Amino acid sequence: MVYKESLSRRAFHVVNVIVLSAITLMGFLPFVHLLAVSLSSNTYASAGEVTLWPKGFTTNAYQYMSENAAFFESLVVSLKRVAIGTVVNMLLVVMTAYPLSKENAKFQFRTVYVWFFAITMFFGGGLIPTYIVVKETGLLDSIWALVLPGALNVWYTVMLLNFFRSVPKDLEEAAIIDGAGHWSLIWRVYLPISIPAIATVLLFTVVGHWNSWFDGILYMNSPSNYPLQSYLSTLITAINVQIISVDSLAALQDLGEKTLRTAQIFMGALPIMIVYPFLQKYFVKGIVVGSVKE
Amino acid sequence: MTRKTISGLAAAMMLSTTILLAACSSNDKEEQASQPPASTQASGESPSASGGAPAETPAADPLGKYEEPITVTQVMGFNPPQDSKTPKGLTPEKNAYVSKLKEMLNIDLKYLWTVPSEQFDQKFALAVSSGDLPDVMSLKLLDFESFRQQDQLADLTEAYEKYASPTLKKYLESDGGRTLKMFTYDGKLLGLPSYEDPFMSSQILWIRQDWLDKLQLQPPTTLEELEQVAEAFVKNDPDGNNKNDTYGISMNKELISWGFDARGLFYTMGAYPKAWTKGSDGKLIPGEIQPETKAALEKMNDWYKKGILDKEFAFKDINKAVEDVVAGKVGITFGEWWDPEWPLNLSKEKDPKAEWKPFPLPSYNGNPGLTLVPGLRLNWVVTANKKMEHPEAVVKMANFYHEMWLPKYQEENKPENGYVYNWYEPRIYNPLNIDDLYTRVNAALKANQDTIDAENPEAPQLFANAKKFLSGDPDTTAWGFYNSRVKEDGGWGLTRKIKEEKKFVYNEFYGTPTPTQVERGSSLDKLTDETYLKIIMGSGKTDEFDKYADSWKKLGGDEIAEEVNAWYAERQ
Repeated sequence: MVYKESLSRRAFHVVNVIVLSAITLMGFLPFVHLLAVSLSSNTYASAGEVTLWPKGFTTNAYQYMSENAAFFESLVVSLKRVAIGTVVNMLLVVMTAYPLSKENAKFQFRTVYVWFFAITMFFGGGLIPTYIVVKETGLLDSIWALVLPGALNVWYTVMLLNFFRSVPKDLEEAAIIDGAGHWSLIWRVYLPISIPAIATVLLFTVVGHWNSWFDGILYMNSPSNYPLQSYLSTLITAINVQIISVDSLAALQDLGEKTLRTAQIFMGALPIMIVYPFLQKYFVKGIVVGSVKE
Repeated sequence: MTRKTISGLAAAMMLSTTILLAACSSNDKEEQASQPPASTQASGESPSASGGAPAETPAADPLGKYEEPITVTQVMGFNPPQDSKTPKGLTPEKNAYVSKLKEMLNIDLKYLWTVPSEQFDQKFALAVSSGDLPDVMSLKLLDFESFRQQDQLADLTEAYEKYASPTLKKYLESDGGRTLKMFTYDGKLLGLPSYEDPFMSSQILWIRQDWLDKLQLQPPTTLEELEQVAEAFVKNDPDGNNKNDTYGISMNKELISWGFDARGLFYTMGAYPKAWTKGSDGKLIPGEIQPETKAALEKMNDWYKKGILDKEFAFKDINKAVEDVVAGKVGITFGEWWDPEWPLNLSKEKDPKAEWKPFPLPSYNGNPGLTLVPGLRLNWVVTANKKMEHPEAVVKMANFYHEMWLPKYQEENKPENGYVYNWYEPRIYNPLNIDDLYTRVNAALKANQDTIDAENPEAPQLFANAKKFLSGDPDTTAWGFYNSRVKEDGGWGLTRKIKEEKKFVYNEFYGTPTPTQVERGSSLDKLTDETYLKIIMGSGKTDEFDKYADSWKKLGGDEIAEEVNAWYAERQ
């Protein structure tokens, strides 16, 4: 079949490609720039002359980072945090969202709980009370201080419970007739059908844990317990101060503060950039993967 | 790189260099009177009386060892070790200073927590609010003030008198006891201030001599000449690339910050915005609303139109301004003595022909340009918690730090042995260290020495760099150090001259922010910054400044002036 596109449709396609390419470039070029700066010599980087291609190519910044034990120590902390944090968060979110997605008839105090959770979304204790709670519960300086205080994300819970509600009731009834209890319902009916929503929440959680740096600095009493981003943020800001002694000034001549900073930002963002495409496909699949035809 | 970081950098550059060592240098012009800070004990409730037994002996040993080990708690904000020879994986807890302190004084130093310096303020605020205070604290002025008002600080009078080593006394009283007196309240010394030579803040003018030579111009001595030079730098293609890509004077959107800004220009014209100078009636006046400031802004407006100031300066932060300096787009910048160490060294590296030279602020209307100098340049105040059992340990710990720099420990006290000096607190620096280094290194160079005595631990490195530069080595690090710290008409040399020739005025207000400043200060500053930018960039009318001055006063400025003058009257 020969399908002839109208002129306006072809024009639309052209504009579409141009606009989308422009948007893609806007997201992509900054990373290319970061990479280029991190691979350039300090002089060119400080003169602001590096755009998309390294000038005075050098890998000093990456060598410095790879020789630095603290970088890998904190990488381990970060991986541990993402692993533990994601499992705990996902479990809690699913377990909370499931009952709250039921109607009032099935779960009497549902509204009370929903309000209870909703309030925490808008009102928090603030920095100091939260810190004191973490301190008094003895979590300071342990990985749990990074995982537990934000373990139940109400926003994700609401997202998920709305998704659960959109699952056709017939499916649940069919499973109940087949003898399923609530556990089987969660694990064998709701979860498999909610993969797009779960994947979204999962990605947010992973990214959230990976990028979070402030709580590490807050709750950890010594930098050896810092997750990667906390460690990076300290290096990024502290490196300037090194300029002060004769020796470090010499070192900074070929390893600039700017190149090191960009190298670290790039390394810090890399894992997420790798993970993202694999989860991405779930978002585009559309929301309900239907199994019941009405 | 945030603004805060950079100002930290600037401060730290000086700070690091502000180290130690006794041995009075020959030309210390400062009065060396050792006047004890607090004459008498006004009240008998000195907490130090309850301190250790050694407090009873009259001629106490500044480094006396405790018979039983005592534990002293601290918290610390730290930076990575500066020396690349420091063993990897070393933490502040394992710092060799800490074990040596235990060995020498029997003091167990314990850190409740350590955190990178950038995050210190936040973490410390949390610790304060959760009631977890360590024994020894190096406080910023604002924290010191609130702790003092809450009566949380131990009286160190007796401890200081009995235990302070001659070195510590010399440093703390190097200004005749003026600063120490500031921290004495009702006869009680509440803190040991680690302060610096205020002249480190002097503004000077850095100009590219190679551009002057190329265009056959003389270094400017008056503002008019500076304008001519700057115009030539804009129009006559000083970099010889046949492109119209240079401008005259470096600027960034923060007119009053820590470098590559407009402060020097304001000061040249006798304007001191965001500072308090003494007026003709003896009262302190706010610089931001004075007629001199108006004239300076009008001058800048004129220069902006002529292209002397970068047309895009309002969009450039300090980083961007520095980029222009390094890239060779600008040949004049107002700055401080240390500019050659950063970023002028990078400019030199980029373009070996670049030859930056410092000049004093030009004169204006026949009056010499007077730079502003802070009344007090304070890093921190070392204090003891009132609950601390042995407050005299604070003084001993400060003594210990100076002791460790003596030549007899020189072999041991090295980064490769795990000694990281900037990880040890409390540190009290020699306020006149930069000057001391300058004198020592220059004396050694004149005497044609091959080596320099190691009494000032920074001297050998600086001496080696100076030698390297003088032997014609193109290393830009050596160039930077020589031009900032050693050369007689370099950064510090010129700063000394400014001090000797009294070409400065003091910023007379150096107290903690007044109540109205706390409440309104930031919005007034915002008003100031916005108005100034508007005037310079020429969108405003001529009476804009007067309207601004009016609203500045009405919106809290008048109250602030009253409070500041009340503070000033009290200090007299």
